[in-house]
Amino acid sequence: MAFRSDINALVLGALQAGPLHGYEIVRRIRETGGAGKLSEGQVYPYLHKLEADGLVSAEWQTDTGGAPRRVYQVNEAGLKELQKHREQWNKFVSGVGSILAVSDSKKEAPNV
Amino acid sequence: MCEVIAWYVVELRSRLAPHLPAAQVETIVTEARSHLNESTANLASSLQISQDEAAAAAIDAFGQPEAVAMTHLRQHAWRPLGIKPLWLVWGGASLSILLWVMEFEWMRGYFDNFGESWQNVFGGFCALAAVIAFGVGCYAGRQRHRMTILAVGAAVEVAIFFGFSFIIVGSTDNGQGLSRIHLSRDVENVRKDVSTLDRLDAYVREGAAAFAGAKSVGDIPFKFRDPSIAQREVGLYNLPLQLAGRLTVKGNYSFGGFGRPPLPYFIIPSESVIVMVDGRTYGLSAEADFSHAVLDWRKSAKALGAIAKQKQQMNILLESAAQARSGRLFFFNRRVYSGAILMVPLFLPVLVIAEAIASALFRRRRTWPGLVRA
Repeated sequence: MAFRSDINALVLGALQAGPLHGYEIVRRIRETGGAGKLSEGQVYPYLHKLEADGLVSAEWQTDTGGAPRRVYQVNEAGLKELQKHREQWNKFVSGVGSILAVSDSKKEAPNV
Repeated sequence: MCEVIAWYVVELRSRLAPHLPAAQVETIVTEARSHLNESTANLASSLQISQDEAAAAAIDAFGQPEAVAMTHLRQHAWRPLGIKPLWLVWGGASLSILLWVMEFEWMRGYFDNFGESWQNVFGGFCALAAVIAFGVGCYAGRQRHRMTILAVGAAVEVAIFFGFSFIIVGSTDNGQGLSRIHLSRDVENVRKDVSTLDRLDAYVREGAAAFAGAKSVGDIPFKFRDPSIAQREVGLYNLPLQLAGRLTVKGNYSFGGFGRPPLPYFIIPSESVIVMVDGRTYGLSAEADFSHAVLDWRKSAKALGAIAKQKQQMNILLESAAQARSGRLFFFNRRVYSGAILMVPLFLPVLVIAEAIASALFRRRRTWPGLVRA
């Protein structure tokens, strides 16, 4: 992904299907390749920032049979924020797509 | 838990503990430990490797403790007065370099072209405040800024090249130039300088004749003994201050600030004539001994030469002002900006030191054994 700030969108997107703990969120983001140069551990600060901004809520889950986990859940404000990111992304994709499409068509039909 | 994960947790905690509340540190560290354990278990089972190898791979993917800690600290960055640390870093660095250069130009002789004396002193304090703001920005942002310093330095160099070329009109051998912003004021001052130099020239010629024909002290006209008369007649700036610099007989009198020395003493021509483009001119000195004064006046040709040279410089400036008024920019005139450009690298070590101090503060760790409880 081009911009690091989009990590927030990826985190919110990962959480829209349901509550997840940190490891699972990071794993899903890593699978998309969206974390860029960020390591797994560097995704957590973004999670905490989203929590501090009131876009996700978190609570400890202690009945895991192992180490306690922190489970994150997106709330209404988070979903609205996600929608904003989605609209921005769609706008970006359609803009770039239209430019690339023009370039491709020129290649196909060069001026003689 | 693997030993290597325990070590990682201690390292991470030691970097976070001095900067964040204990509860927050605990949350971050517990999450990191949980993540590493889970990642280790998954890697060990999926890749069929040992726990230690899996833990090492998990840590590798999780990131070095310092990098992870710094990312956390940046997310909790302090905003001094609500200002983003990066603004402080860029603003503080740019302002401090620019003010340093301005102060240098002031010391070099442009003086009131850039402001009154109190403004220049105030500028010095502002430069100091800007360096402090830069350091605070580095600390608050929890980031190294060595490359930023270089980038700001380069940007200021470019700004000086264009800015000074635009602001400073012409430049003479003694490193003075007119301010395009105050062109009318400066031109008036330079014209005043030229007429002062004319009067000084006449005064020196008259003094040379008077001392050449004098047999005793009584033959010397009073205007060559009383600085206030000389100052009034020639229009020199602050003559007593200038007199203080050249006295062969010391201890006869105290100036007590700008007080007038007691007679007998004699005004003599100065070999170095200083003309400031803000209208101040220095050109006379003093001698307590009559026979020395006579000898000094015999050498007045040097003073007349210095006066003529200064008049030439002032006329060059007036010509430059006329060119500026007709739209000329003084680009590629290295006298305008070369001194300032050379001054910039000399100031960068100050910013490097401020950055290093800030970095040492935000990277400090807590290492007492009480924390080792993973």
